[in-house]
Amino acid sequence: MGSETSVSNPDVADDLFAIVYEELRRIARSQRRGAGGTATLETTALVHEVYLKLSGSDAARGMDRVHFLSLAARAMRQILVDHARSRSRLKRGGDCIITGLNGEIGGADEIVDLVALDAALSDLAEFDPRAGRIVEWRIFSGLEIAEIARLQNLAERTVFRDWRRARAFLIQRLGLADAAT
Amino acid sequence: MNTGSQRWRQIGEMFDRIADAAPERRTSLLDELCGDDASLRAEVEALLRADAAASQFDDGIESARGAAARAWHDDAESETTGRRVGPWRIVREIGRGGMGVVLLAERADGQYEQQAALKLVKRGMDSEAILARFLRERQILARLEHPHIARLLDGGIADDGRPYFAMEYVAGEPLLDWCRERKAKLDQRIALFLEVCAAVQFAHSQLVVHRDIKPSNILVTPAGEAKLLDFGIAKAIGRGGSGTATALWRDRPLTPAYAAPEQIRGDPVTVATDVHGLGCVLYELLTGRRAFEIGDTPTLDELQRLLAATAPRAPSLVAAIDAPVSAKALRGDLDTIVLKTLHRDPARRYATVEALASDLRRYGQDLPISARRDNTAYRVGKFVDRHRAVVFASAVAVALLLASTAFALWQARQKSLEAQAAQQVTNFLVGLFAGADPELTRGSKPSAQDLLDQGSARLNAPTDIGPAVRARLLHTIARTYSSLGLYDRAVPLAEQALASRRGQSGGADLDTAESADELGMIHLSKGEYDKAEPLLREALQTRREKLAADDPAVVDSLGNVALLLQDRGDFASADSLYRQALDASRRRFGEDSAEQARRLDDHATNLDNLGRRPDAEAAYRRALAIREKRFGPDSAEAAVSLQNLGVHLDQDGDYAQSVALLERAQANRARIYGAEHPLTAISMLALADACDGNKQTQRAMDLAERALEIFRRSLPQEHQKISEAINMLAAFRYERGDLAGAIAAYRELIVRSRKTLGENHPDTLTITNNFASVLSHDHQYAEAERLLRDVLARTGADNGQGIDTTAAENLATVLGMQGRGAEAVEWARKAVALQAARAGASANLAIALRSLAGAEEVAGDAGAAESDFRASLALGDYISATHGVDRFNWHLTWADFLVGQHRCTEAAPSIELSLAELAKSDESKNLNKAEAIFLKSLCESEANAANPAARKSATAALARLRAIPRTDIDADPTTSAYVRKNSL
Repeated sequence: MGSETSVSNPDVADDLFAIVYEELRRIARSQRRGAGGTATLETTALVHEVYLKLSGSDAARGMDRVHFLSLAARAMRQILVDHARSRSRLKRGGDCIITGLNGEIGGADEIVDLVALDAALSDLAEFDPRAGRIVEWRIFSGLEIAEIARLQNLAERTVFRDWRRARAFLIQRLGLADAAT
Repeated sequence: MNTGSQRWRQIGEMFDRIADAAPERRTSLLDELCGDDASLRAEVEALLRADAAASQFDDGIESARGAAARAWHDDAESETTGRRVGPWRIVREIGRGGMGVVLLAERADGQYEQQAALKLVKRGMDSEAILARFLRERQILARLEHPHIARLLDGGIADDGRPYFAMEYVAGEPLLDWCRERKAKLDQRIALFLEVCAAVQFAHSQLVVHRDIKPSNILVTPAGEAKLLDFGIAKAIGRGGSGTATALWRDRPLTPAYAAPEQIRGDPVTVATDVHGLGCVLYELLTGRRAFEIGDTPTLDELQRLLAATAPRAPSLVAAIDAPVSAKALRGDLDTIVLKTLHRDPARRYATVEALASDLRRYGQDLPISARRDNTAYRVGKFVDRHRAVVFASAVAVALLLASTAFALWQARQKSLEAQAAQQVTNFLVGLFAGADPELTRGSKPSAQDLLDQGSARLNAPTDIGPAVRARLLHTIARTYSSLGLYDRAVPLAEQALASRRGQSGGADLDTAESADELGMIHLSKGEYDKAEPLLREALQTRREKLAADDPAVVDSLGNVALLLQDRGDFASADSLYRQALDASRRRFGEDSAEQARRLDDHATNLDNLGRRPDAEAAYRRALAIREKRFGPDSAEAAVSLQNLGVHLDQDGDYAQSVALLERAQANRARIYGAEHPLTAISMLALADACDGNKQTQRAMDLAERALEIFRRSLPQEHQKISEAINMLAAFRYERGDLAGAIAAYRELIVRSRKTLGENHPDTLTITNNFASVLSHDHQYAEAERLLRDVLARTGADNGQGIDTTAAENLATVLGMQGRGAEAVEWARKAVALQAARAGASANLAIALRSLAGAEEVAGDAGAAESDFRASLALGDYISATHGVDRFNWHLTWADFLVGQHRCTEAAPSIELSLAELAKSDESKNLNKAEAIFLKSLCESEANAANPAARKSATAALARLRAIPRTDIDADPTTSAYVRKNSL
């Protein structure tokens, strides 16, 4: 398993991103049409599915797994955040979701605002790129700490520390700490 | 936050170290690492605070990602028509909820034609947590087999790996639409609603709360039956009722307009939450409006308002001109019932759905209520043969029973221990008969009881019998004792059998279940419900786990648990179990089987309790038809049905028909078993009661005496049937004015009942109350008082029949008769409180108020008496208007009071009203009629003091009153005083 996490040529990277992004959408759509396929929209599974599809293709030749996962997490992030953004525009001033008003866990269970999360994550990545990437993998690809450690060739302990620190930063930035106390 | 890389690295490093450290070390670490740098310290502390919210964040992220993915996916997703899922083919989408889609599907494997509502997890929603919840719903539904709950048909995994389950497809209309289109009447609406209550109550009995009860979740089938759908957010109730289960519905959307306040707040959800949901449904069903007028997607403001609201407006206040039910019909009881279900504080709603349903039923029963309550409550014992019909074992029968045990053992153990086991049992049997010493049995043939006594003695001595065989024999003997009504002898043996089997199997095998069931039934017969319940439920659970759903043992267990619930007064839960037993036995044995007839009988006894007497009668008749068809009209089996139906009609007051049926039952049994057989005597006793109702008093008395004689001769001395016969004789004697005879019978009866049933058994308490009432009519006030106080001290064991109210009223009367007015008032007031707590505004409450006023009158507090009389009059008139009860019940007592206060002018309208009503009444109202006439003539003589004719006619009226037995106690206070004084 290589430890390389980026390709040298940014244009190639952008092309690959577009390919991954399109593939994610295509696979998700094909599921909607009921065209068989065993994968589901659970993001982790979807990402793996896309990797399987692409790993044999010409377009993605030479792209290793780590690189791919970085792209996929980014793509997933973009898809979901874009969607959340469009939904929130549609629904502005509309209904309130009472789903999360859960007394037992102190009201902090309201659905995290993905758009705000996206912005906070971008800030974090600026001064702590490694933690930023780990968050992206965790949150948007749904990868486990152990898996990330293996792929990144890092100690699990290190990944966990990065994640914990980054998460604390995000919680604070999104103003979720106060709600819980 | 300072976002420079350098700074962040510094902060991050400290955070890492401190977050890793044990919590109690954090402060000192902060001191040490940050030194004087206050802003650094503040930032690290802020991060640590944020870290404390990590798990909520993780959850939030998971649901946010899930929701976003779902929403993205939903925008275009639809399940494809024609696709196959398991054995089903999708027809079309019917709906979608938070985590799944619901599809109409039909069988694709051509096995049979069937439609189903297929529930499938949405794509993208199959995270582990959601799958777990989905499977949980499937599991919950599997437990909920009930006629008013959409049934689970099948479940499995679709080709794409998603789990699905198929539910009964209800091709019905939503409840409110159905009612609107058919312009359903009030009683129809309430009937449908009661079906929903039964479904919810059943779910509660299975420890499941629905949590999303709303009109759209209730469909009405073309057959007009309500079906409750969507246990999608149902939850199994933990033992404590609260707990961690809320996590399960983290991203379950509620329906705000129907959610209970505690749900919105996120407080623990309990049975009371469903009561609230039912209240919302009832409100809308009655008024056409929502109890809480908020949208399905309310703003926070609306929610806040909802949470702050104490209660919605009373239904009668919001009912519009075009409302389905008129405001007039809603005012009073229905307003009260609905508002009680919707109380903001869960603790102040109905505690159970059954309590709600029973209030509604009480409201709905248009049966005339006998507003003059019998102070000798009701008779003891249920004459209807329940499914564990009494076995009258002769010695030969006992021997056969034990021999069949040996045979069963031989069959079961052919391959292993057969020779040994069979030999052991044979030895045991031989020893038993050899040991039945003619000396001990006084030269006569050994009785069944002798054999059993010997048998149990031998089993408890050292023998060569192995533990399994010994346990089985103990069990058999216990069962036989129990069928002989010898419960005290049965208990230790059944306990030994159970302990031994539990020890051998290590817990839950079928033999252990059998013994648990037996011991449970013995406790039930003794009225020891708390001991019976865990045992019977254990047996049911084991049998359900190990056997097919329609196995006879499962059916038996269902029936037994139902019996328990019925005896405890939880008739609605019992009903649903009886229905399950009926369904299972129908599947197993067929519609026209003998087993089905037995199940119908059991169910019918409970339908009686539910006040559904026509349904009960139909069930008895159906059972009769089955037995006549299978066994012939003159068969012993048909006699069982004739007996049950006859008793039912007797209770309904249809004495002539009842007498005819019971005569047939008695004749059948006399021919088959002999005229002196206890089964024949059981029919005689039932016939005696019907004859009494049919005004054949002498015949009734003769039959009861003969039945008692047969019972005494043929049954063990402690047998319950003997008590039943004595009880009936006591009542007959009392009715005929033979107080001494009645008292003698009650004295024997009380001793028996305390011994066999126990001092706290409801039947014992009832008998004691009745005895006290008879004693007080014989002016034996001291003993009556002592007995009534004893009853009241023990009514904790009352099973909901209301003996405590009756006893409190009787005690008030006894105290009043002894001139202890203040104490009498105190107890009469307690009776009112008890009655109000039990049933709210009811005829019985009006009666209790009336008694209180009477006690106050006797105690000399005319002011209090007048105000309580007025209260009873107002409530009574209301009950009369709604339930068809005669108004003289309230007005005559009121008139009696006014006459005592020398307010004849005011009394006149009430006297006239009573006389008019009583003019057409039968002889049972003789006392009332005589009292009304007396009051009228008394007033006339007071108005014309100079006129000797008026005075003479008043004296004559008083004489007629005195000719009626026990008038001194049963007449209203003023009249009663004249009777005792015996002069104007």
